[in-house]
Amino acid sequence: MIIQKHTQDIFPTLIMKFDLSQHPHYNRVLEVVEKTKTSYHMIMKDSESSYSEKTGNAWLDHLLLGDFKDALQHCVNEWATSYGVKNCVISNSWMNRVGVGGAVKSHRHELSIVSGAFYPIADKDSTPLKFKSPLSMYRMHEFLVKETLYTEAHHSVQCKQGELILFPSWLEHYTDDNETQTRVTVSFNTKYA
Amino acid sequence: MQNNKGLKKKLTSLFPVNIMKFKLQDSYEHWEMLKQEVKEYESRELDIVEGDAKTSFAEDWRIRSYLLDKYPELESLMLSCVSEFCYYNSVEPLELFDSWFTIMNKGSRVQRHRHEGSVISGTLFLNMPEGSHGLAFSNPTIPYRMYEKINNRNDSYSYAHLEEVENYDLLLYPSWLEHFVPKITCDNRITISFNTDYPRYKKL
Repeated sequence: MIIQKHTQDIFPTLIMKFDLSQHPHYNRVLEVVEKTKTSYHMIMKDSESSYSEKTGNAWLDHLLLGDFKDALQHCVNEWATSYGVKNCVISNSWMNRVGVGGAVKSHRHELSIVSGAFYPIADKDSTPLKFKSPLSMYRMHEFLVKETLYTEAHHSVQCKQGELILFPSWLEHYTDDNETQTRVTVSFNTKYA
Repeated sequence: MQNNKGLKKKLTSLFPVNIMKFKLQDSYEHWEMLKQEVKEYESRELDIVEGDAKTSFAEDWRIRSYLLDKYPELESLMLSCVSEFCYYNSVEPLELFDSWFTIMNKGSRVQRHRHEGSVISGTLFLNMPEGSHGLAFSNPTIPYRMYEKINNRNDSYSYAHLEEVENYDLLLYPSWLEHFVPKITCDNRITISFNTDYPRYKKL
């Protein structure tokens, strides 16, 4: 007997990837990356960040990066439209350097709506960005045969040079230990326009 | 300013919740008899059911209702649908556990709840007159979204997803997913719901 069935996926968490590798001002981004001073930050392991609680963290406000920041803002606008959220603009921004053995501990971005991770420099096979499933806490009574889209506790998004990943700021994320020499991230938060 | 319209982009939906609906009208021959018989069974008070309604569900696991035990053919049909759901969602095989009927009349509703101790739950809709509702599922990501101001509700954001159904539809959903029945404006909405568990636990 054939039974008609309909399967439906509800309440997904939206993330977006954009390819900015062909942006005409990419070289300017690399120039600023090279000049950026980074230091220890507590959520990073064996890595450095320009993030400081004492400053405004305005990496993307560098004079050379006006057009590039506009491109990122364009991506944020697209995400906000897809997600259905009120328009938001890029607020603070900073840069992280991760080398061999470096990692970013699990965290989320409070007081932001959507956050971004852009990779100006990332060696091939640099450690991916991993998102924790917000549903894991509900699943106390499930034995799984294997991990699938519906059951995964973590979702990895490949770290690829020139790509931007946008994700809801409430979504917890982290990286495993990196095994490449260079993995540079420009991260940013947003606020309501 | 650079024109950004041609940017390559990819949208990905992470961590969705899967629900399944089965159309069972032609898969069972005794629907009318079943509808008549459930009305005769003993019912209990239940806090989460408001208004003119009755159910055989008992929260105390020692006096649970096993309604489907009386209808082996229907139980077998439910189990085959559960197996399909398990396969699709990569959950280990399950057996049916307790099962109960609920009859709701005009103005009644079922408050938000989940089914603790179960893996997948199912609701079979025996009688859905005009003015009744299927099941509304609450969005499990809402608690995280305290900083979001929404322009438009969509699949990702809505507070709840109302799945409407027809007579003899079966809905399967994860037992942890909170759900409710909004107030109905008709009499005689009849459902049979059930829970599932792993075979090794059922014997304990």
